[in-house]
Formats: sequence, structure tokens, C-alpha cells
Amino acid sequence: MVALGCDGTIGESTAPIDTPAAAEYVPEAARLRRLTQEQYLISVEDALRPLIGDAELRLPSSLEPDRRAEGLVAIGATEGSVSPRGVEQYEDASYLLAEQLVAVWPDCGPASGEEPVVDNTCASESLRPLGRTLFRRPLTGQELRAAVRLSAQAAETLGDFRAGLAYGVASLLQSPSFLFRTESGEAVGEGRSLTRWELVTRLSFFLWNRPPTTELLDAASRGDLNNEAQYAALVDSMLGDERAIGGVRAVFSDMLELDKLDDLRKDRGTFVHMSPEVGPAAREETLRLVTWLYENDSDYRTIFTTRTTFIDRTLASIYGVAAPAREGFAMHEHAPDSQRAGILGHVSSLALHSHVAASSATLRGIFVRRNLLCGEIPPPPPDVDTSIPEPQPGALTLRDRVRRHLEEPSCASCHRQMDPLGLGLENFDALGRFRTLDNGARIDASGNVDGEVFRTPAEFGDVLAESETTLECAARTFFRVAHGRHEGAGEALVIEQLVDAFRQGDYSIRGLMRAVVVHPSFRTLPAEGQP
Amino acid sequence: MTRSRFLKRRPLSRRTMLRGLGLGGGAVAIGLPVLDAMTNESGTAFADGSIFPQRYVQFVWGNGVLPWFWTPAEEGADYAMTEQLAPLANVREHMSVVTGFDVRVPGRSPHESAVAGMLSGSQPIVEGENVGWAAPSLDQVLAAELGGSTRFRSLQTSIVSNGGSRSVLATGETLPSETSAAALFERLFGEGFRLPGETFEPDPTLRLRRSVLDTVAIEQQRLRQRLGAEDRLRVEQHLTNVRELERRIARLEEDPPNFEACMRPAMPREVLPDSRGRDDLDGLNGVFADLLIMALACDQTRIVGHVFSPAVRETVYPIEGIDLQGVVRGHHDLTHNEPLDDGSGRGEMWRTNEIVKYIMASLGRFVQGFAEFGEGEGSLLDNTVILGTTDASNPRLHSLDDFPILLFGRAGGRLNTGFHYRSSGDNAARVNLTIARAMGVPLPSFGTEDAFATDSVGALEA
Repeated sequence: MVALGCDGTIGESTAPIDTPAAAEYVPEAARLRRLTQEQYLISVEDALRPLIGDAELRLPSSLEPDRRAEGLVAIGATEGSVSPRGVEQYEDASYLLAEQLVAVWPDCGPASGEEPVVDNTCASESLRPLGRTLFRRPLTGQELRAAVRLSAQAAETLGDFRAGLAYGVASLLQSPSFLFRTESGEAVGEGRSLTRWELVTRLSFFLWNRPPTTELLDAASRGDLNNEAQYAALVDSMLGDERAIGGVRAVFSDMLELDKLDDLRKDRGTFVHMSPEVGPAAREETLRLVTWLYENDSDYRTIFTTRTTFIDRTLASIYGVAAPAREGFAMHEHAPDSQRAGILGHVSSLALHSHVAASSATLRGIFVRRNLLCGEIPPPPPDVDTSIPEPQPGALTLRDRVRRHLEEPSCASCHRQMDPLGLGLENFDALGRFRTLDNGARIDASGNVDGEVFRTPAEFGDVLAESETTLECAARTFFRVAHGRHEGAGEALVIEQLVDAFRQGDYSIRGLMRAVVVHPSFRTLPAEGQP
Repeated sequence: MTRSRFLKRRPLSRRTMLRGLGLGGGAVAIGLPVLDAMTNESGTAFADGSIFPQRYVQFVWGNGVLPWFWTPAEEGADYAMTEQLAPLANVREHMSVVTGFDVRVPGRSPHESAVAGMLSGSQPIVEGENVGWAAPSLDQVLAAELGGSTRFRSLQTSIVSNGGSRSVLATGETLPSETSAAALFERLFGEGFRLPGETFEPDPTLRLRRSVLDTVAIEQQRLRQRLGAEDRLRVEQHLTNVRELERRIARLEEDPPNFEACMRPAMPREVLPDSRGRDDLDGLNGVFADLLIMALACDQTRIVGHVFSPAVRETVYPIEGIDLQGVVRGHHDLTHNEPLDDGSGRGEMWRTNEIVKYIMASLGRFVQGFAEFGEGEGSLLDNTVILGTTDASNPRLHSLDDFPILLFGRAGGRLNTGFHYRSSGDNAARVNLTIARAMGVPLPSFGTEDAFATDSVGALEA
């Protein structure tokens, strides 16, 4: 049997930082990025809300699903197209939204039943600013004319100006210029850079997870983003804006796969605490913690060690602690000697990476190895019996039952990358409840992170917080979310510089986000003719 | 403003009320005469003289079978049903049990390699957890050839929310599944759907919607000029799908195909999970089957990719007593970790066995719905091929040999049914080729590299 390559390299095909050949910076091309479901919904809300005032806005309920690729939804958005079903869904959504909009907008144009039904001036003056918001750049003359022409054609057919305008609006909402973010760039000197519109869009989606506001587009239009000092000031004001919470939540949601919690399934016969509310509540806990750390400009490493968290009644019952006095979430402090520390003690990590009733050292180990340490683990080879023996006298705990993983060389080459991590969380069951016994036998939750030994889940968090690999992985992940791709071999230097900046900023999350966007790589594309 | 896009709701026709058909609530066989009008107006005279189109349905379940409970000992028509096939007794006469074929792709990716190899004759491309296939799945090969004349080129459905899809385009991209029966109903039979012969007021908004899509397509063509090769392909695929939607809308402006068996079904009932949160998979499957049968009978599509249950994800089956040491397990977990013999005397891996039997019973009822649905002188199943398969033969080992393959239906008389055919290790892609040719798609070959096949399986052909 051949053991597939688990040689312990970090960051898969990317060259290790200390490889001398990687010292030269070579930028990589950017791909077309489809708006995620969340970005689509935020985008239409941002565009329509100012126009419809307090009127109710019904948002579409089904859109082309997001996909996760190379570990991140941000990368999945750069792959694949729009399916036949997705085209229908975007079309349905466009008319749902357009009809709500034209019920109260615009202020100009003939009223219902009024002749003539065509008013190209009003249509043009209305669609121009709306198009700029949706396309995140000014419409070209051609694009505006096409939308106005459609509106007029529809107005004549239907005998109603506003009913006609809805078709112009719908055409903008179905346009690839709205649904996709292009990052093609333009020639600048010898090289190539994002255009001002592409740059402000990348900036806004990374820092806020939403499209650029009118003010940001105006700043881009004035050329502010090409002036280093003005750009830095803009970045700082964006990071200080409450909308930055959206960016922080998006990065961590992607990194920790929190989107998957919507589909969290546990056996309700085994877990009386299980309900459809648990998954969403667990996501909210983790996101509230990282938001709080961001707002306090805290050290990133705290996410592995803090005993502060945010819980609602659903989570309080799972954690066995007093529930918040009111509905909703409240800050909670686990006891100083609690084994529940940081995100590894959250239901979001523990339940998501377990089976429906039983915990899994392998799934949890893969999560820590891939998502928190940026390591890669290949799937098990074919024709291998991967069964885990049932508990029996002498081998009651999961650690004893999976001993073979680490003893047989063919298993061990990969499993030593995950089991010593996952077994460190055995004090938590498949839902995330604390326990000291497994099948009646005492749990040994010791382990090591690449040689750094820990004895308890809380110490596990401490070891991760001290690990250089964890910090480097955070820098890689933020880069990947921002760029929609993995760092290339020629970008090792960029990662090194981001890690330096992260360190110099006392590991603040805000500092890392800032470092990613002020680094020249954020706007640089390969020169024409390069691969 | 006027809600111009939407036609006024018509009252349900008497025929809709008659729709007692339902796996959900006791299937009713409805044989209807072929009307003379059918044979000409809608142009449904097919190459073989049959007036009904051929349909293909792919039914994929997760996590394999247990080979030792699966394969019949005897070959030919007089085989004894095995334990796992027994739940299919109700459709035995319509079924070919096909065993002994190997999926000839490298087993690099557990579960994915086998199903990609079985359905596409090629291997998956795995980068991280990103999975594409090197060649299209059989349903999409057929959709490319046969899907152009129906409203939907093909449909993808899955009865569970995380079921995924096994319908893969030539670009390697997987088409998402519809997982809500209500949404599927709305898509097929909601706004714009008309029964054969039903009068309607011409809807001007359909033409306007096509104009909008045309404008979008022109923008896509402009956009693609500015992109790199890979992004260009993505935009072209999007463009193709926009043009497809234009075509679908244009179909709504025409008279619908004049198929007498076509009726507007009732809104599907809601199927709720049980008190332990387990999905009623058989119930869901019945609701989807009803809609898919009518989608085919109304010629809304001729190709369906249907996923009963996903691979790997831990589906918990609503079967009592299959807990292991008091702990409930998902299907995938059980396939790997259930003891071969737990000393209960109930046979090797009896829990996993019960799950496979549950799936086969559901498949049996699914197929029975097609067999009992009258079309012309016979049944819908007479003009359909249903391929039932999965993502491993022995799931414990993720093995690709001696793969589980079931065929149902006669493809307008071109396929034999009612027997067990056993090959000695031949290439499973030959079965795909057999299906394609029976559907009237004369592919020269199917599959790539070791799975490359140029000969169909004569024994399956009538």
C-alpha cells in the first residue's frame, strides 16, 4: 500500500517562505468573481434602499448557490459560471426587485395612465445613477442607451412608463457587470494595475463585504486611490467604519466554514439540546467574538485563548452555564479554569466537525490542520478499510480506538497530521458539550501541534496562539479572501511582509486587514503578456 | 403599476383535480388513449416511428451497497432476488440487474472517483475540495443531443438539501439541484405553464423578457473580449445559459406539445422530518417522483439527474433499531465503522444492509410510478430508461469493481428487461454507451483512457 504524500509541508503547492528562489515577486492574474449570495443581497439592498425609503423590500429567496473551492467561498466565486437554474433565479430576482422599485421610483416621468408613456430623459436620468451603483462604475453610453431603449420598448408594449422602466432596471440586475466583479486592470507604466473602479470595489468587498458606496465611487472617480496618503487615509476611515464588521464577519465565516452551520444536523435522540436554532446560534457566537475582538483592536491570537464569549439561551444550555437574562446574545465569561477557551471551545468548531452523534478526531484534526494551520491533507487512498473499531474493554475511548491510525505507517503518514490535534478536543462531544469520560473511561486530551505538547483543550489553544504557523496561516487566509485565489509561488515575499506587518501591529486583526490592502500586491496584476 | 409580468391565475382545471396520481398517496394507473391530434400537430413523430420521445433518468444514491447481499447467484431471467434486490420485486419485470462491470478510473478520490467514472467514464479533477469531472455525465451528454426541443434541456433534483448533483457539464461544472419540491413545482407548472390545448391570452411580457435577455447576452459578448481564456469560458457558459432561458421563454409563447397524459399536478404536499430530525426520504422521493413523471409526460424535459442521497454526508435514515451501541450513526459512518459481525445473528453489517434495502424500496416505488403512468398504449416507463447507481460498490473500501448498476424501462422497445446480466470484469462505460444508443444517440464511444468503450452491451439490447 502506498502512503500518499503527507510530508508535512504547509500551504500545499506554495513555496515555503525561506526558499531563496521565491524572493522575487511575481504577481498573478485575477479571475472574474461572481457575487456571493450574501454580497448579491447586500448589493441590491444598498442600491434600492435609498430609492424606496421606508417601503418594504422583499428580497429574493433563492439564488445560484455559493461554492467552496480550495477551502474558501471567496475562491469558489472565481470558478464556475451561472447554471441554467441560476440564470432563471437571477431573472426572477431582477423582476421581483424592479417591480418593487418602480412602484415608488423615480420622481420624474409620466404617471400611470398618462400619455405619452415614453420619457427617455427621465429613464436615462434614473438609470444612470442606479447603474453606477450596481455596476460599481459609470455605465458606458452604450449600456445606458440599451437600458433606456428596453424601458421605452416595454413602456410602449405595456402602455405604462413605470412598468416599462422595470425592464430597464431588470436588465441592469441581470447584467454580467452587476453579477460579476471584473479585475482585468489597465496598463500602468511597465506593468498593470486594477482600474480605479476595480480597486475601490476590491477594497470595499474585502473591508466591508459590500459594494462601494456613492462616496467611495466618487473618491475613486477623483483619483484619490492613486495618491498613497489619501488611499491610506481612506483605508483607515473604512476600517473605523461600522461597516467593517461586515468584512470581518465575512473573512472569519469563510475561514471557519461558518456558512455550513445552516445545515448542521445532529441526532435529536442523542442530543436533547439539538434544534434547528443551534447551527445559526453557534455561528453568531463565533462571529460576535471576532467582531468584539476587532472593535477592541485586540490581538488575533486571543481567538484561541479567550474565555470571553457571546451566548444566547440555546448555547447556554449546551455549555451548561447560566442563560442570559434577556432574549438574544449577551457576553459571557467562562470560568478561568474552564477548558472551554477560544473558538476551539465553540459549538461552531466542535459540532461542525463531528458526526451526527459521535465526535471525530479526524474531522476536527482536518479542520485545525487545514483551516487554522493552512496545511493540506489528501483523501485516504482507495481500497483501505478505514473503519474504527467499536468500543471494547481496554479500548473504550476514541484515542484507544484510533490507535492504529498512528501505529501503521501507511495510515500514520497522514493521520499524524490530524489525530494528535483532533484528539485534543475529545473533552467535547459531537455537539460540543464538555465531558471527562468517553464510554465510561477517562479521556486523555493531550496532544501536540507539530511537536509542541499540550495536555488539555485550553492548553491546545495556548499552543496554537504561540505558533508561528497559525499567524502565517491567518495572513495567507486574509490574502486569499481578498484576492480570491491562493498566493502563488512568486508571492511568498508578500506573505512574509504581511506576517511582518501583522507582528509589528501586535497581531491586531485590523492591522492585518490594513496590511493586505495597503500592500502594493493588492492592486498589482501581471504585465500584459505574462502568464 | 400593473404586475404585468404575471398572468392571471386560472382556476384549476378538472383534470388537475383528477390528479390522484401519487406515490405519496397510493398510485393510480391512468391509461389514456393516444389522440389522433397528437401524432401530427406537435410534430412528435420520432425516428423510430414511435410517437413518444425517449427519456433518461439518472437515480443516484449515496454510499454504495453491500456486494455480498447484492449480486444474484443466477444469471438470466430466472434469477433469485437477493436480499438487497428483494425490495425491487414490484418492478422486477421492468428491471435489468447488471453486475460484473468495473469502473475503470483511478480511485484517487473516495466516492467521487467511482461515481464520476460510472457516469462520465472519466475521473474527477480534485484540487483541494474542489471537484470537477474530466468529462460530462451521461445525462448531460444526452441533454446536449436531445434536450434542445424541450423547455428544459435537463432537470436536476435532489430530495435532500445537501444532496448535491451528479449532473456535470462538459466544462466540468456541476449543475445545482433543485431540493425543494414546492420550488420545482413552481418552476415546472407555475407561471407560464399551459396544458395542451389550453387557451391563453398572448402574454406580451414574455417577448419583453426575451429582449432583456438578448441585451444581457450582447453585454456578455462585449465582456468576454476583455477576459483571459478561463474567464472567457465561464462567461460563454453563462451566455449559453442566458440564450437557453430565452429559448425556454420562447417555448412558452408556442403551443405546448400535445401530450394527452399531461396534466397540471397538484401542489406537492409538505414532507416533514420526524421527531428526531430525520428526513422522511421515501416520502420526499414520492413527492419528487410525481413531479418528475409529469415533467416528462408534459415533455417539459426529457432528461433528469436525480439524487436520492448524498455520498459521505451523514444521512440518518428513518429506520428504527439501527443505532449502534445506542448511538445513532449516519449512513457513511456506518459503512465504514459498523462491525462486520456484531454477534446479533442478523448478518454482516445488518444496519448498513437495512439502509440499502430502504433505498431500494424507495427506488422501487419511484420506478413503479413511471410503470403505472399510462402513455399511449403502454406506460411512461416504456419510453424511458432509468439508470440506478451509486458511488462505490463496497463502500467500506471505496471499491470500483463489480459496480452496482440497475436499468429500468425499455427505451421504446430497444432494451431488454427482466433479467440479471453478469459480465466478467468488463468496462462499465459500455453500459452508458448502450443507454445512449438505445436513446437514439449513436455515440461512437463513451469514456476516456482505461474506461474508453466503443461497444455497447449486446445482451442488454432487444
